[in-house]
Amino acid sequence: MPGETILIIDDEEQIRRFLKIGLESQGYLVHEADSGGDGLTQCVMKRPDAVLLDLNLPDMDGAEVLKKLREWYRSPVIVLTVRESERDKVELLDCGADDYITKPFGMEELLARMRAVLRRARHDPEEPQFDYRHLSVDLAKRTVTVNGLPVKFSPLEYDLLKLFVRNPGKVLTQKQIMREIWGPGMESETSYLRVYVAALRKKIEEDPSRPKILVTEPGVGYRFAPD
Amino acid sequence: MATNLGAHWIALFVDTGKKISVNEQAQLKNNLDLAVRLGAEVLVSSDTDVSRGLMRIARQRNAWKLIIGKPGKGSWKDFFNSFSPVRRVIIESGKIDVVVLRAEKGREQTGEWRKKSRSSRWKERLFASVMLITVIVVNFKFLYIAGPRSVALILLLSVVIAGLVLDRWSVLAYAFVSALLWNFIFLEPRFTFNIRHIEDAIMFFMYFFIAIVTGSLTARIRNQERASGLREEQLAILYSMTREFASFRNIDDAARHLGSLVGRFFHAESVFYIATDDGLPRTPHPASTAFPSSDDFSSVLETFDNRKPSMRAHGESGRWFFVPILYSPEKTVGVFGILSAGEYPPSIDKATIIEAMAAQLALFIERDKADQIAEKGRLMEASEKLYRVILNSISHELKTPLSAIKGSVSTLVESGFYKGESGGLSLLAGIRSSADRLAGLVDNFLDMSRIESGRLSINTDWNDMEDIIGVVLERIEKQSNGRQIDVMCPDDLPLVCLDFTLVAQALYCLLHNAIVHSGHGPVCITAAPAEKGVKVIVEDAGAGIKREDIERIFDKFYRGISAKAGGLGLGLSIARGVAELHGGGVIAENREPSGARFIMTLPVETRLKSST
Repeated sequence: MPGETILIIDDEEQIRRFLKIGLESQGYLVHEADSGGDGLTQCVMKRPDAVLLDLNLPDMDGAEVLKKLREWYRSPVIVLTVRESERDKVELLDCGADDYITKPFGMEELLARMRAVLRRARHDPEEPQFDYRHLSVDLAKRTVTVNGLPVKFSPLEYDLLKLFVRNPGKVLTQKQIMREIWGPGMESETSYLRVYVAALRKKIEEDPSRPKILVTEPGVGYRFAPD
Repeated sequence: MATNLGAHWIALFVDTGKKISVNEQAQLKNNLDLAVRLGAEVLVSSDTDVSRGLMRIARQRNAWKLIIGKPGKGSWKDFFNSFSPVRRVIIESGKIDVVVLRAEKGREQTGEWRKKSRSSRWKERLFASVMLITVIVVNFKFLYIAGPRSVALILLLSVVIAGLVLDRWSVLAYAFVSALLWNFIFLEPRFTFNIRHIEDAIMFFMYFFIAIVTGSLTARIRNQERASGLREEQLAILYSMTREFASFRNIDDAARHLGSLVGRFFHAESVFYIATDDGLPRTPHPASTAFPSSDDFSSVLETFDNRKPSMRAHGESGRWFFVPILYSPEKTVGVFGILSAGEYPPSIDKATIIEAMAAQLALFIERDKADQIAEKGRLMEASEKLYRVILNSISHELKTPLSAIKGSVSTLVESGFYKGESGGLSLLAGIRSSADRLAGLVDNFLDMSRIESGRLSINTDWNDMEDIIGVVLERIEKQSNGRQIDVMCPDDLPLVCLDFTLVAQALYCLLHNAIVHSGHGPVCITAAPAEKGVKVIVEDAGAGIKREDIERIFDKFYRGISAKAGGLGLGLSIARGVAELHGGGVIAENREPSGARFIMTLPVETRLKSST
């Protein structure tokens, strides 16, 4: 939605520049901060609708900035990371980051993520009806159709699907899913999750070897309805 | 003196159980503290008899010189008391030199005494005889008027007293003599051995009865004393062992200390075998003082395998006693052997102590092992962390400009800023794809150095092979311009326990290699259960691999002779490195009629999907 404000916290001027130009071209208002401390201050002053946070900052660790931010700031935060740090990504997501994007990335990819997090943040009243590609889920009637044909799910499969449907486009870490579906204390039993995800894909994907609806974020978790 | 001689010295306090005043306690504490500061080992022994306790410790510790302070003021008691500690010590010192110091001025009076042949038993008998005669004489002179019964009671009392000093048979003899004398001297008719009244007869036998009772009571007390002395000896060994053990840093010190204890208390030699991961080594630990022959080693092995003590003797010189060093009833960590010159087989007490020593050593060995592992782990962790930090910052530094390039170009192209000619647009697209390629190279380069470093800890978890293949396909199909990639992944493929990102990267490298080097034909990726774990096969329909290249293509930076421009030649070595991290490997072969086949084996843990 045009007019929404975004704060970029990154120490690299070149990166800030293209982010600013790219985002402004889509009608967003952009503020910039070149350090963690500056970023926190600007966040208080400008109250942006979303934050783009780089993890390598000169004055403090990006994860630290995120934790401080999350003490009071509820709006979405997208983290800019490098590929090597899956563990960091999981930690950041568990710490309250809404999404991440891996460097180097294209502007289109970033804009898609940004639109998705802002849409979720606007708190659209939960639609009982969810349609994505050939999948259609009616949460009120508890019916699922694929290509217009009804499909049956086991209760646990349906719970898992419901969790994904409620978080479209969002990365859910394995830990978050396990806790939600199997309850606390089961987070390390990822083999259950793998089995149910595989079962779910067989029912909703056209080609389960090339999933398009329920995609894996390597080493992190799953993303449902990615775009 | 000991410091001058450079000798090890012991300060001993014998606790006789007597109460000592607060002042004396303070004095005692001061003295012992001073001794510790001067480098002495302080020992406390409990014994009712100072000299006996002193001598026991002296023998136990093989002291060669005793230094005793002479009491400052001689009291009248000492004059009569032939059992004063100093005198007794001098008499009983045997081969030990005794130095008596004068208390007030501290001047030394040095002298050497040899043990006298007189034994204390004869002295005690003499004492008893003197007592008997005194009692008889005193009674005869003064107490005759009180009647024979009173005399009998006094004599009985002397029997009881004699019972405290004499051994059993001497007490009986004493009772016999005093009964006879009483009968002869005091009982009517006097100076005969006749007994008229039944009461007197009872009294006469009473002597024997009391003598037997007191004699056996005394004997029992003495036995208990001896036993407690023995216990104290055991305690001293165990105490000395445990106290020092806490301060040792490695097995060498501990074994050496144990060896010296064995030498000191048992006058025996010791040998230690400490098991390694491959079992029991033939060569004993360097701290050993004796070395069993190769024949004896079979007993050592027997002890180690059966986890039970064993003995082996041939002649007087080689009498071995081996005990297993047991950490738990099932776990033997070594063998501890003693070459004894003394009693053989060792008494139960000794065997118990030896086993306790072995148990102590077992704890130490295990602690030492655990320490080593922990230390290694700490170092590994620290070095891995450092390595990760360095790699992450290199990665960040390389990728930041790449991000700027790619981001800027994509903004220009995708946001519609560029309004120039279409030739310019294709140049921009060229910049973007070059940036992507460069990013790929940087990734490969970093991956390779991580795998090469050996510091990569793999992050295993239960994963679905189909899921991994899906991720790889998603990534590769974006770049491969609609090349046909067939996937064959059976439904019953079990879950595998492996590192998702690494294996995905390895598969990506294999697929990328197949696509780049096989023209336009289809590429096929197949996952299948293997004997252990799974295998993934990537096949193409290209020209295949030249025979001489079939192994070399896995070398770092090696690029096939017919390879097109571009690429570092790292992909296949990364794939192989990742497979090796999981205990497997990658092999290449040619297909009939044409094409190449790469088989990656991942012998990892599996779990059937249906069982979860």
